[in-house]
Amino acid sequence: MNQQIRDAVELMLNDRLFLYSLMHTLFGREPDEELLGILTAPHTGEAFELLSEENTDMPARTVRFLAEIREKQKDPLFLEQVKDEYTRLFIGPGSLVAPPWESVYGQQDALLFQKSTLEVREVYRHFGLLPEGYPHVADDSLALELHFMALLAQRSLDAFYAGREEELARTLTGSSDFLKKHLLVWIPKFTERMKGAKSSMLYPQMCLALEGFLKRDSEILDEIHRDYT
Amino acid sequence: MAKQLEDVLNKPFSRRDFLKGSVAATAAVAGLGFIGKENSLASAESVAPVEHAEIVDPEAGGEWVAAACWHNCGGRCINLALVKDGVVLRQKTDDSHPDSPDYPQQRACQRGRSQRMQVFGADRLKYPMKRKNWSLENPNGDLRGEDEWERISWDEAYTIIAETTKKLYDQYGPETCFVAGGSYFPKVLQGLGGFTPRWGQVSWGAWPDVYALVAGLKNGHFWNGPDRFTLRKQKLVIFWGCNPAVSSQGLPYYNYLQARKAGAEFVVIDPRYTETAPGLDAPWIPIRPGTDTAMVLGMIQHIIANDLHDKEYLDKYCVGFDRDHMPKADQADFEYEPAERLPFLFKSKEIDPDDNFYDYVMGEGKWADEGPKTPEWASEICGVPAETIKELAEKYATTKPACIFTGGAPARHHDGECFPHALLTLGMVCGQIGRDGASVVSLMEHYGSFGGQDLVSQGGGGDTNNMPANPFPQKSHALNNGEMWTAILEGQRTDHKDPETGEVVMYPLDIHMIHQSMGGALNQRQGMTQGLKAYKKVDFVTCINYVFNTSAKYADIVLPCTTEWERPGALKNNRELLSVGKKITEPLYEAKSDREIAMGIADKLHELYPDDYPYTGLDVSGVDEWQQFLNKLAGCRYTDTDGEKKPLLTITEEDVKRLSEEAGEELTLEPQEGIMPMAEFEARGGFQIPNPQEYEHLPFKAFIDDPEANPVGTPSGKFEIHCQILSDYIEWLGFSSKDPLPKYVRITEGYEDGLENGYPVQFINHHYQRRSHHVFDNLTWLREAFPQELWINTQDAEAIGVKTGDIVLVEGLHGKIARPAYVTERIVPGVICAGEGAWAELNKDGVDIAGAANTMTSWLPTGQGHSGYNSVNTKISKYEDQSILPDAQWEKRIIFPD
Repeated sequence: MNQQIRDAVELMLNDRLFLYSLMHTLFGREPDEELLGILTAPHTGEAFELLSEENTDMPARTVRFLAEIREKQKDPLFLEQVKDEYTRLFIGPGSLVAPPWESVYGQQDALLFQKSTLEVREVYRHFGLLPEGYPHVADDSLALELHFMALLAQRSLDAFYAGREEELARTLTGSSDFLKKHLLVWIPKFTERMKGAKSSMLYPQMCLALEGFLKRDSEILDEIHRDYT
Repeated sequence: MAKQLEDVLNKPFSRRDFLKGSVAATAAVAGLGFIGKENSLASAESVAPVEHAEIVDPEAGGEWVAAACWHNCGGRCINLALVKDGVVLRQKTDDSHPDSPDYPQQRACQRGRSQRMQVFGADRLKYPMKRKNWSLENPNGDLRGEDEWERISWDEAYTIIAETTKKLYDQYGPETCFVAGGSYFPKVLQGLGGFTPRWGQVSWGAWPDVYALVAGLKNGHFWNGPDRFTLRKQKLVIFWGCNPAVSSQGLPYYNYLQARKAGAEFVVIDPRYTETAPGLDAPWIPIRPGTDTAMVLGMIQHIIANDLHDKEYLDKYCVGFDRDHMPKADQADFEYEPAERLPFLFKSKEIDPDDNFYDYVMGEGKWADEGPKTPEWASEICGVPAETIKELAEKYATTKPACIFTGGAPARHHDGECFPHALLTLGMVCGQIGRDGASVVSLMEHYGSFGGQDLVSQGGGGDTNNMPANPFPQKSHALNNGEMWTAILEGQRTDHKDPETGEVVMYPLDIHMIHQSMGGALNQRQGMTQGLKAYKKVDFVTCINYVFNTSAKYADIVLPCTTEWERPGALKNNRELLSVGKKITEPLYEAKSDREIAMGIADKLHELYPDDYPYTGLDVSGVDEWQQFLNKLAGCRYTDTDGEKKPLLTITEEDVKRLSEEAGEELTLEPQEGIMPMAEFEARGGFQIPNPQEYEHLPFKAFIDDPEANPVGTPSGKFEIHCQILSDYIEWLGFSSKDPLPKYVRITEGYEDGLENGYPVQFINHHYQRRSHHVFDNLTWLREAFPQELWINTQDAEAIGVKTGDIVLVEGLHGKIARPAYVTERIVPGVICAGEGAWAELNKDGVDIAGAANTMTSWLPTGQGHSGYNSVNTKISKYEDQSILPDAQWEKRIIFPD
């Protein structure tokens, strides 16, 4: 790997670790001011921009959207509205317009604990992981799958800095496979259903941003895998 | 360098700064801290993936486990789940033995087969929730049903409930909480001084007290038909307002089919051409809802006029038929114990012989002015041609043995007592009760076709608790289903009518809290629009459920409970089958059992108010749930052919040890001997009586054989066509009056009212394949198959310009619904109907677009305090908003407008 490529890979691995961590947190817990602060900080915009290329305008849209949020955030009501939106979209108690579980999108019915749950569980186990709430929670939820990607991104970055090529290849391949077999299969359907949300303060837009990020990440991982590992 | 990475490097910011920023931002995210365990992965033992050389069976490693089907559905069936690592891959039903009519498989219906969708639905309640704008100081009751929600912890939920309940009890007293339904939660309240319960017959309409007092067999109304082998010897079976093909899914319809094959003729009398009729070649007699009594009287008059009545039977077994056989005034005092009211003491009195049934129905004596209740007279009211009435009357009077089976529906009317009374009288007039299995009975639900008492039963859980009894018990202090919402709004309920003064005595109330678990009275009891007002009025509403049903939707605190699949086990039975379901999966998300929830609240009350609340969770809970399950298994009984009840299961020390391991705790039980090993019982999913043909049941056989030695349980010891005690009892309840004779009465909000009040279309509601009452309404399979259509006759549809699929607006005296039409000849003109149990969904105009039946029903208590679900006057039109989508669809919004 020459220096220029190393530089690009280093940037990319750092960026994806941040973005997966951010996305895991964004979808995995109720929002607060600090989380919105990180979301609207200048670096977050740059983190999306790093993924931009001529064929997609999603990073640019996301950057514009985050700038809007930065303004709206000044309104003290905004956080309350975003909290309501989070609860309505991801917690309940009413039925969720786009239930954030992979199993819901592999079949006609909105069900948890299906075959995809077992498949995802097998992948987690392969990497020495299991949901903290196992077996009470479905393994193939949005937040858990993003946490998996974030944890693997951390392992990739650690392997990169430690020069452990084999571990780097293993975690990147694992990430790439997981994207292709799981997240990229259902997230587009999920974001499509998210368009039916009653409000769009933050999360429906961030679902689209997530989808764009996942697609670009997959392309870039393919390239790293094909050309450099 | 390849393009993607080149893009990465060609960004207009400094690589070094970006990396720095990245590290800092990642650290900042990590610094945000807590993410719930439902959304976090943890380290675990690494397991290498299995390398599959060829295609493998994804079900490998799965295990069939008997699964509970625990609903109030009208069936009792066997259900098994293929479980792999906590995931149910698919379900199956009874295949434990070859199927035959005598020893049939107990196969599940479309609802049972959808059970995994109910348990694992993405819309399960997962966390305790609080309505956002609720506080005790400012409940914002008007926002119920529309407010936003906040997730709270179990500890927060327990604290809010404990503190709020305590404050309300301190301020308004121990009757201030109305418990619309619940198992363990009410016990917690007993420690605070009590609660106000609920009462009222629902399913069987006016049958229970009528059957108990006219036929003299308490609770016999739902089981005292012929056994299913005697059923095959019946020559004629009349289904009067019942539809077992739908409302008794499971085996009943199959059993009726055997009777048909054996030569029984079937007739269906119903406002609808039901699913039951065609399979049994049954001719359909269409009738107006709530007018059945007129047809019955028309039949009786025709039978008597043609001297086809059984005079010997009437003289020997009945009182009140004619002036020579009136009840005597010197009968001993008689104490009647209603199911949900305090005992009622009846003192017999002098009955005027002029008040005999013969004179009433034949239009003689004091009823000469009214004239006879001829088929022609009946036809005017019920809409059935007089010739049809006569033909059926002759056939029933001369075809023996014959059975009349009815559902609750024709008696689920206001003032519904006359119909069961008249129908029983029809049977008596023809001598068709108690000979060769002939009977008149409201066999329905899983009792349909299974006459005779249960031959199998489960044991008690041994659930004891240390809580004081409720000083406001159901039998004296409960709110009646028909009156409860009004009572909450107006601060008083009917207590009774003083027989001396004739005055209705009211009881004052000050309800500030409503609790509902185990069910959904708001959606499922009459007068929901009044119910919503009551819900919005009170200070605090709590609900425990596993889905967001209507009661949860309008609550302030919603607590998620487990389903039977997440609990140790469950038992259910029909006459011949005792089925068992085992634990299938761990509790989903934060769901807890009702017992655990009640314990949590009690412990919190004890922690916060140790002096006022000396009880803890253990005082509330009694026996642990696993031990309860084992106790229930040990107590399972079957009846042998001599009528003796014997232990069913052989349970060894190994069985107890095995269940203890499943439970993760020490269970105790003395080993016992039965006729089936416990492990086999569990593996098979139940036990079924292998020789059912040896358990004959002929209703009232002993009474018919020797009426003096074996009197029935009425004041006279005979069947009471003139039934003074029924009249006195209902008078005492104070809701309405009932004549001692089975007369035709004009029902409030019935057919005649509709002709006068401008709401001429009668709305009725039926059990629906999509649901078991309100349960299962959220499942897409069932929603697609059974779309909650509104039945409407072709000529009515034409009159308002509607074709199948168009949305019809139904406006009643109490509410409005809008549903897509099913235009058909299968329903009587002037009548519309929809399945009961849809979850109400009010649009901005207050129209219920889900079509919940109780949006239309009244809040009028009548008779024995049963529910008058089928007395509804409406008018119909084509709805201006035709855009209501099929139930499972939604509208999309554009998020990033271009």
